[in-house]
Amino acid sequence: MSMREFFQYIDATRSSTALRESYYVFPIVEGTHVISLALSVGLVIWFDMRLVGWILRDQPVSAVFRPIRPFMLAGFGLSFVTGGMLFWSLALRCYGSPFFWAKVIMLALAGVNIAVYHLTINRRQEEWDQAASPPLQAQMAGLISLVLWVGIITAGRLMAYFL
Amino acid sequence: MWDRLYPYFLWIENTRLGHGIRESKWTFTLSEVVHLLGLTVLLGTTLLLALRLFGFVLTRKSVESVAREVMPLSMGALGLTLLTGTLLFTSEATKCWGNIAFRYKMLFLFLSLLFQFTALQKVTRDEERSFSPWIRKTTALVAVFLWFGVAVAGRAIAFF
Repeated sequence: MSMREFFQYIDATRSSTALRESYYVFPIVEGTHVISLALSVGLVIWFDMRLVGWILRDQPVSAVFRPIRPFMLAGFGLSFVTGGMLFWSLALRCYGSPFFWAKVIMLALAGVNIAVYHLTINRRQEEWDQAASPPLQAQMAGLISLVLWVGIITAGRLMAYFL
Repeated sequence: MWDRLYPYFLWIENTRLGHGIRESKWTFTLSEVVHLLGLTVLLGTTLLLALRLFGFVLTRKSVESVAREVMPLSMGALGLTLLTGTLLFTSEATKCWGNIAFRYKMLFLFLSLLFQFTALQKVTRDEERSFSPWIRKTTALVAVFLWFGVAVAGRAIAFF
């Protein structure tokens, strides 16, 4: 099965058609997807900016990250579930949209960035937790995250435009 | 009252700016992107301040000093959102005029701005801790409700 056939298969499922044609569910899912940005990206930026050393420099990095995490994760959960539903309902149109692929690639890169951060520099967090300016690698992780999220939101918005 | 505003909406739409935005596809699209990015930061700030007022996050730092640090960013985002929102509105003012969600959005926006620069500002600059925790939490909830109301109504404009 080629990628295109796979997307075609999704698009033809009954659940995809039902969602696409629903009068109320689709707009509610789409609205929730946009609003959940405030909880997901709207909260992760504070942690990213702390990592870069732009903000809350008098606070330990862990004191910024840990209490925000549950709210942020709830936001990302909501974003992913609603985003997954939107994709499911419009799979074939997504396939033909360059902005969709740009968004998918940037989401994957954001995932890699998070994994690399947690598996490497974050392992030694106690050493620099209090530092106003964290080590360069941690700063880069924060900056990359900020850039990727701006890109992901941009691609998402443009995708809806040219779908 | 709203009917009597129609000529003004029509006038705004027919200004050179309105024509210019409609004719350039990218100005409108980019304004939408910046509008959404600004909104994300603005709502993110409101959420962070609300979580701080509730005592869930950054409890080792006072509300005033958290607000002092995040407010400049929030105000920058607000400025960008208002600017791009005005551009978007100018290009399709009469469409907005006939849109029920737009009216709700303007109502929520008016209330949000009013609340932001009165109650929320007072509570987040409360050096003497003169407000009870109850008032601080209610203020946080109302601010989040109002700003999210703007966003929800804004998103709904596209559906009507």
